[in-house]
Amino acid sequence: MLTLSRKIGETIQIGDNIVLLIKRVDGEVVRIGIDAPKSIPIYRGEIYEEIKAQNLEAIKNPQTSLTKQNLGKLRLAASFARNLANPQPASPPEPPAQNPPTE
Amino acid sequence: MLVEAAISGQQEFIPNDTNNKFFMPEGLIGLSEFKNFELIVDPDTLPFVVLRSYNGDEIQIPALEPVNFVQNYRLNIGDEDAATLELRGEDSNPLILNVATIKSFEPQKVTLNLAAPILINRRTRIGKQVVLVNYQDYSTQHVLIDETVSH
Repeated sequence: MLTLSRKIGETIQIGDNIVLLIKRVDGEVVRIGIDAPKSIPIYRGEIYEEIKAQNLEAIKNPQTSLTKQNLGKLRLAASFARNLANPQPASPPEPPAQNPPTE
Repeated sequence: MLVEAAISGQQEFIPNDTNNKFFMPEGLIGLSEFKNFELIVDPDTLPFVVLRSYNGDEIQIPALEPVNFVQNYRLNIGDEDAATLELRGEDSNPLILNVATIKSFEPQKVTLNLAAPILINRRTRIGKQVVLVNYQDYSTQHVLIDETVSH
């Protein structure tokens, strides 16, 4: 990996279109400004790696395909989860029994 | 901008045989070589849908709409992402899909990536996997069905 030393206010030019500016150093925190074309996505490294790992895991489906049967197995469970997340409003109280059953 | 996952997706983006395509200029994170997608919606598998892309190789990604599954899911979307997706005016309600990781077809093994939802502009059919500004509030491995409460 290329390693450069820079002072605050100095920049690093990457190709024609990307500039990194060292803005501030505060203890262990470095603030970096980035100028890059909008077509270049920029992420914090750790979240990028985490999301990439999830995406790669997600395309690696068991039995290599998402069949109707397989996904269907998850339907009921999912609807159960939905009910948990959205409890139905309590139903109106039952009207009191007017005539308790008598023997 | 703040998008609330409270609007049902049964709006304009209703895929059918002729029109279920969308385009992701940047692809999915870590899978940028796949850009053209089809949204496969099968009533027998809902709420799960499948994003399928083909560029020589095929990928299939299961996903679902978080509406009704995640309480108080608030998506804080950066200005640049909102601009890329043209989320303004009548286009402010994108289709929201969360990638589902199905480690096995046991329901408790299904997790959702809430930190980086896929947003699709329903009119332009342009989509992007967006890292939320408030991504630290959400997991990339949110358990859809928590077995501690599901029985």
